[in-house]
Amino acid sequence: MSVGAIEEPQKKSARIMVVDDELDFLDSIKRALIIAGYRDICLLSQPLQVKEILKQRTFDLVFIDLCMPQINGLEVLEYILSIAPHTRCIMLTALDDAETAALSLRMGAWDYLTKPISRNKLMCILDRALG
Amino acid sequence: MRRGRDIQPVVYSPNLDVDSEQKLRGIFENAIVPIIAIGMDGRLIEANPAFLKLLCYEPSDLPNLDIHDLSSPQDPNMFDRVVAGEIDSYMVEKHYRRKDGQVLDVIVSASALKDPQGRLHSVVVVIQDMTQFKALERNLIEEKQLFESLLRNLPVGVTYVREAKIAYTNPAFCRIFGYSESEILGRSPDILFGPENPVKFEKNFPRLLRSKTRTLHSEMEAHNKTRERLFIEALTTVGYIDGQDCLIGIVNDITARKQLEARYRLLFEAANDIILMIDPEDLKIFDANPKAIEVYGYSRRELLKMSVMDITLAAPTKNSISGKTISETAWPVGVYPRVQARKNGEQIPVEVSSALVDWQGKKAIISIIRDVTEQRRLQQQLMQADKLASLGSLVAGIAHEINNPNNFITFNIPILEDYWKEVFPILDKYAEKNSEWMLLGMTYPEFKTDVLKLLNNMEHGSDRINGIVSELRDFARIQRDEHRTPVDVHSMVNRVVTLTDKQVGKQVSSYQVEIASNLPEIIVNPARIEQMLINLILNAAQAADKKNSYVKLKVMQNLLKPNHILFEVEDNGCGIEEAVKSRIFDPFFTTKEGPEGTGLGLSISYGIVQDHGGQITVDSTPGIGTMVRVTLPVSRG
Repeated sequence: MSVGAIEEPQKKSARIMVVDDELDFLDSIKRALIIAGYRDICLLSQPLQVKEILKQRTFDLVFIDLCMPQINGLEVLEYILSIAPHTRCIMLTALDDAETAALSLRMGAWDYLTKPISRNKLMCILDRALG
Repeated sequence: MRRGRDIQPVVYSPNLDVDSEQKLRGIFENAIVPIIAIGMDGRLIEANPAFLKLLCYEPSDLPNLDIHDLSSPQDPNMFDRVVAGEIDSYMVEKHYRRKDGQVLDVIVSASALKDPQGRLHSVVVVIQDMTQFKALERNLIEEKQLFESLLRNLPVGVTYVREAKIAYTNPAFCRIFGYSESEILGRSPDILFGPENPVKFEKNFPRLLRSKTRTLHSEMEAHNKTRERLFIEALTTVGYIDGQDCLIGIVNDITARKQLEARYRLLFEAANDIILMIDPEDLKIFDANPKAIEVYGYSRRELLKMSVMDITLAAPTKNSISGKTISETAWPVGVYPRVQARKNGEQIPVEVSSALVDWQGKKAIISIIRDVTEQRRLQQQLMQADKLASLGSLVAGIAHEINNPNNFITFNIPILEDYWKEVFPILDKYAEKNSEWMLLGMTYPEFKTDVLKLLNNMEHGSDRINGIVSELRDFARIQRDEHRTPVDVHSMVNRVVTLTDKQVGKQVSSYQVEIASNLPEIIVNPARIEQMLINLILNAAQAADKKNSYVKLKVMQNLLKPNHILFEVEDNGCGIEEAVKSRIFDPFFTTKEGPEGTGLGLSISYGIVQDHGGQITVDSTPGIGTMVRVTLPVSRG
């Protein structure tokens, strides 16, 4: 039985931030990103820290959860786009609601994904967003 | 006395012998008829005792009496015309004044008397007293007028029929039937009745006149001139008028009363509620409408022998206060619920509304009783809907909570798999060198297979949780799903059939679809309705347990409810056990074993139908089959 070793993934340079108050989910997505070859990964479980971080640097792509304590995902989206309008922002939430989805897209989100989501699907979308 | 060829004038003959003169005088004096002779000057020459008696004069008054004074000045003066030679005799009605001033009606016959030379010398007058006769005549006229006035003004129709023809009608009679007097007189009374004339006057007239019961009182249907239906109350009797036997009829128009009666009767007969008339003393039923017979299953005859308590289950009487009659405790006045029993023993919940009334001089209870079985069922449906709604919000919350941890598993298992796949080549090499290597009692190849199998199973398990959660969310979402569009029923059902064809075909030997033509568009959420239909069809197919199993889908206009479409899904499968019937719409209720069902399908279908303002009912006989009917309004009201 041959179990082929996973090929060493191509190193990818995209800078990615994930804003989600759920630590387990941050861990999961980090694993998937690393396996896929991304190294510049910033995980934020405290959405209010977005302001601090964006003062120091920028990102190519940000995953934003919607329902978080302290601050709503839509506000985070609005803030990021006001500082760095070219950032690809993907909403990633358990809230399966057409109105909120439409609102986020109107505000400038690149996509609106609902949890549960499989790794495959997430990576596909990510590739497309960065492609 | 000799009479000439002409009857007048009478010639006075002085040559009468004494004997004759004596005889004449005797006749004159003794005649009952008053007779006078008047001289040419108008003075009375002779007057017999009858005359004097009639006018109350004494013989001594005679020389002073003048015919002009006796006569009423209004009467024609015929005497003077005789004197003038214009006429020789006359006969005329006159009025004579009595001595006391009272006026008498008389008829006088007068003749001129002439001497042999033809000279007029007196007038003889014979008088007939008409006073009594005149009074009688006046009475008769007055009486006739009274009768005529009575008949004319009577609000009751009066007629008499002679020789099978109407011979008299009063105005009220004409009014009742709408004919004028001239139109109706001389015609057969049969024209007043329709073809189902019960009497047939013309044919039966002789028999009617001979009938033993002289007076007949009847209520009949008749019709007027314009053929409108009338109800009359007729009193007929045999009479004798103008020398002939005849039928006298007195007719009253009771159409208005009959219509009122008929209306109330109709209320009673056609009422969709049971109406019982009950004796308050012993609660015996003495009248029951057709609805009562239909609901209770007893015949009218049976019901009228029963007490209302024979069909009513004992009421919960917490305090049977002494001094109260049974009706006050068991069947009181007012509105209250009861449970009654049909003849076949089946119990029905009812709502009673009773009132105490005076009825034909007695007290009676009128009870209007409504079978509320259907209402109770609707209430239960409502409760079911309520239950589902509150469950919906609960489920939405739970789904969300399960989602996150489960997504963690779904998401990470492939990663864990990747991790292992990184490690396996290393382990493979080690195992090649150590062929006896055992892990937890397994050989290395067994271990490796099991790790992959475990990961695979976990992935499946977590997928399945995701599936259930997503269905739960569907279920919770139905309540706030408002997306509606007009949909062609034909193409929608065809889509459903295409989607289900393969799967249903695997489970049953025949899948029949009937869609009525000319169905209107319905305003629905098509995806939801399709989902609902698919659920029902797959359920039906899964019930198959016979050789010639079938699933029938019928779509048609709901004949009982206008503007509703009826979807019927019928199968001849295993049916639904009575014990679980009430729970089939409950979420998570399933009879299917293993991973086949979540128990949400029917519950979701129920929610969808409710949400569209429709109804879903299930008829099932265990072992025979099931029929699910869904009724949807064409547009939501």
